[in-house]
Amino acid sequence: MTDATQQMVALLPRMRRFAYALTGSKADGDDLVQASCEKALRALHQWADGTRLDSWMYRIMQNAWIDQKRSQNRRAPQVTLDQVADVAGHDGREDMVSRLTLENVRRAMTDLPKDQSVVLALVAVEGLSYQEAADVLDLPIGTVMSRLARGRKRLLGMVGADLSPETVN
Amino acid sequence: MSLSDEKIMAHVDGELEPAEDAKVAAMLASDPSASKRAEAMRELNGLLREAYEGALKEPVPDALMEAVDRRRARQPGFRLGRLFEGFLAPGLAHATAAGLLIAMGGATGVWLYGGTPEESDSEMLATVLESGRSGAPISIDTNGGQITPLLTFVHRDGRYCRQFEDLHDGLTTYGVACRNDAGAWQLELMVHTDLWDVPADERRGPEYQLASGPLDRFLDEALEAAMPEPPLEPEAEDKLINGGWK
Repeated sequence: MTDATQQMVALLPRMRRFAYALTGSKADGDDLVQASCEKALRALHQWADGTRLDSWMYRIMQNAWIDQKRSQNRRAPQVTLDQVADVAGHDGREDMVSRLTLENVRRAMTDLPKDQSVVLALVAVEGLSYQEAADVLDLPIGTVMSRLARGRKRLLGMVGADLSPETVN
Repeated sequence: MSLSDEKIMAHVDGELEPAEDAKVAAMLASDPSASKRAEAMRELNGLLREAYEGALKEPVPDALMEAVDRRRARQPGFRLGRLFEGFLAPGLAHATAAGLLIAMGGATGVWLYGGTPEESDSEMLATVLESGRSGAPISIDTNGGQITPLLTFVHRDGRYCRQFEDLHDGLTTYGVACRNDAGAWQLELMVHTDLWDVPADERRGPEYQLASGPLDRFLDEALEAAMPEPPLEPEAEDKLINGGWK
């Protein structure tokens, strides 16, 4: 195994989480991870050794996801069986209320405009700094911040009525 | 001056320089509406992390592992790596301290389980080794017990050998067995991950030795010594299975 594939294997759990945040379903997320890994392996010569593989993988994943969404013809968001299973099969630590809340968060994320959910997934879910997210997306940091602010506001509007009434317009 | 959403957000995300961050914190303290917004963002961050952490914590599906490294499932390093996981299980510490139990065939090899504990078990194992693909678990009972061939290699003495994993009654055993000219599988090496899994009278048998060093090194060395070439590729393994190991 080369150093790059070893690193990629180590990144798989984080890639799965990122893909889950983008797609809203673990099964779709895993498909995205798999497609992205295959793409990355074919293009491995383009990755400059010594630079961060995670940033490169995030970029490939979000590009692959945007491509997928485009080809799906903007079909209306649906609750898939997988999402239902996610709710039903969740471990017993979560009570019913927080389970529903988390499911609402996941659904609301998939309803956001793509450019907003991507920055939320990178910063709020994956914990990247604004600058790191800007590097992944090849955007100015100001754009990342404004998308993040808009995405959060919308998300709060959708799921956060009980969190903070003032933020709901 | 009132606080913008972006400023509050940068504060919540820890993106501000210390001096500015302190300023924002002070402003928040005297602005109930802004501090409520900050609190909502914090809560949202927490929810977002929680909503997806399942994917981070659960094991990565094998299909994904193999998408990254197609040969992974068949590489001894990986399989030995999985062996190590078992050794880190609770209860192992005392087993390691006492020395781990290793069953080893001598010059002639030990017949599968030496006829113990049950004849049917050894027949089952031999059947799996004879016909199972590496990496594919085969059920051996109705309680979730399974045997998985892990890899196939050519022993330095020319015999075909297979490393396997045996999950049985919640216990895990790893072994290496080799096929002799008569078509029987002989057990060469067997590793119990817990010393107390094995009945005391079996522990005293001549074929058992206590490994003095760490088990991982022992296994590495044992496999290295027996396996001069890398394990067989899937195609070569299929050919052997289909051709009756000729």
